[in-house]
Amino acid sequence: MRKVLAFAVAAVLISNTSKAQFSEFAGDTAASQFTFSNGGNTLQIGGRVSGYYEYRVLKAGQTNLSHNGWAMKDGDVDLLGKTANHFTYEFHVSLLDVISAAATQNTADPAAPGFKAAYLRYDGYKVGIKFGFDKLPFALGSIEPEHMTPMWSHANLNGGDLFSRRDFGLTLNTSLMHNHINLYAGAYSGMGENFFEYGNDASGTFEYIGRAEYCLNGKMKYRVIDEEHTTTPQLRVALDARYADKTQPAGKTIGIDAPGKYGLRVINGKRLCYGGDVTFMYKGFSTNFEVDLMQLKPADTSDPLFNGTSSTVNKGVINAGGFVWDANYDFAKIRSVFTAKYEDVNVNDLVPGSMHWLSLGYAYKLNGFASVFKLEYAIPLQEDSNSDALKYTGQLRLGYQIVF
Amino acid sequence: MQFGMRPKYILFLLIATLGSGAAESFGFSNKGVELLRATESHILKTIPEPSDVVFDRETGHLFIVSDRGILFECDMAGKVIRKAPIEGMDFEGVEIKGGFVYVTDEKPRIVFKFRKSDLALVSRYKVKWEGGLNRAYEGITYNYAKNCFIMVAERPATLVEFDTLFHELHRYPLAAIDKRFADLSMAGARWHEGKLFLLSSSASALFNCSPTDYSITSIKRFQMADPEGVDFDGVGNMIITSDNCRKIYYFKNISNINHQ
Repeated sequence: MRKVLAFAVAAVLISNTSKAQFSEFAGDTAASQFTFSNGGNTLQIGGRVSGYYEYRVLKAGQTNLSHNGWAMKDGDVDLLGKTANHFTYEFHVSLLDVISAAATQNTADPAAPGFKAAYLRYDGYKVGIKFGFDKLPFALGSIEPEHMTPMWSHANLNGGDLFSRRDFGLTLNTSLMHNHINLYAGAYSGMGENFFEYGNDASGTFEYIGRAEYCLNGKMKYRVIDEEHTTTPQLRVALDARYADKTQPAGKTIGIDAPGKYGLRVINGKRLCYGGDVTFMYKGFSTNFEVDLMQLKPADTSDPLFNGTSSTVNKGVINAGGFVWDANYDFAKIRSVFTAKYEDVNVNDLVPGSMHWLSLGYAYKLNGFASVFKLEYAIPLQEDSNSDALKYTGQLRLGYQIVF
Repeated sequence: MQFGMRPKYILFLLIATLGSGAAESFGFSNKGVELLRATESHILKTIPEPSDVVFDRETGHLFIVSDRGILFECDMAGKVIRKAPIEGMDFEGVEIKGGFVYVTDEKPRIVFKFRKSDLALVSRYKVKWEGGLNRAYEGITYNYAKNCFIMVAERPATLVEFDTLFHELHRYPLAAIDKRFADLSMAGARWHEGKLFLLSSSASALFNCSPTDYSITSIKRFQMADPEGVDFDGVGNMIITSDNCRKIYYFKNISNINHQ
């Protein structure tokens, strides 16, 4: 915590101002947001509705066709307000997640609690202070809104199965060198999206996250697609890291849902994640490259993450992570966006195998990404049959999205 | 840990993206559109998040407004001379007319009227814009051809005429006037020597428009990202403000812009 405070003091002394934010509704997607103002305080109401038809090319012998049909993706409502004394607040709720959790006794997706943002932020100082639940400043693909791409979901690497995308905590943010450098630091519960299910864990420790970005031309939005067809090349290079020591006291365990699909999101022990990303965009073309690596040190030598290997083999450490690379073009004249994305992910280096995915996307924009047809085809080029066995060899999603 | 990317997929990505990059860029044709480069720039060290700028022909100073809700008076290099004691929430547009400085406060939908001599607040006018919190009035100028104030809303690109007490007179969705305005974010408006200029931040473009029907006469684009304010100094040099790098840019090579 002292490091966070030291960062805050240093940043106040040398920084410019800060206003970076992750809100999916403060940007320029919305077609018909409504804003109320009494002169001093303003409140914007927005939301997003989307759904698609999904078709999976099943492997021989698979008879369950439940994934060949309709799916609702978004049913979100967002309230974004600003007060005259420099406070911003936001409540972003997925009613779809709330209803799904209620209907399934929270078994549908425990990492989708319904809240996507519930925070207040003070912008009156040189360092922006945000307190509450929101996206974490780690992993570019997690920060960037996927609804502003032709894709229907995030990459496996940064979509929430390896590490949490949102959490409750305190975030400080500032910029230096006339907006060329953008810095984040924060302390969070470490429980991620499961915070509302379990609260804090028994270790009594925070997860700490830091991110440093260099932007060639000053401020740069978190966008995958260059819809603005920038006339000067835009480049952002970033490094980020997160660390948590969630070693549990004797007799205590971490909530059963919190570790997630691969057992990596929260572990009984120490976890370090680190990575970096590069974004380039120019005249409608854009590309993003991101690497995220994880080093896990479970406190218990018999932890299932070790996959039964001896300590002489595993040396008490599990490595995981991978990279994702996308390339995109916004062909404005025909209102179309083309995307290709490749990722290579290994969720546990003590378990043989890794997954390679190629995803192709197309969007036809009637009104930007506020009213858009989206088509995605995902191909598992290499299946990680030990960690994530698949029943299909291809998945198509075709649907429509409205942001209001 | 090994990560391998198959060469054929790398090749596919490169061909797909480079091939598409060769296509026409931007929503309207760039053929014949001049791309302007700034000849001089100054960092606005003490002005946080600068947005619009207006040149004061009486003093040779600039008035610059900030997203922090502050009105500054500066010299031509951006050095602050004074600032208004009354602050707003999110100042985005500024205009000088008849000894007063008019400022748009985007988020609460207010126009501030300051007395230029002492920057005292004279009046506040409430204006309407029902759309996005941060998509309201970005620019303000006075249209001497129609004797009214005009303000441009960021998105959807809209021009609205107001009387001098800021009662709304007419609202013009700009895409209905010219499809080239469709999908653009607007950032500024400026009257200069009988012409009306509209600035788009998303396109980094300046539209020279008819002051009566707002049709596009000519277009110029800038080699910079997110210009937010525009005016011209006493000899016709163009001044652009940008929040991205907290800079003010001068374009001293476009003296003929008023003759197009």
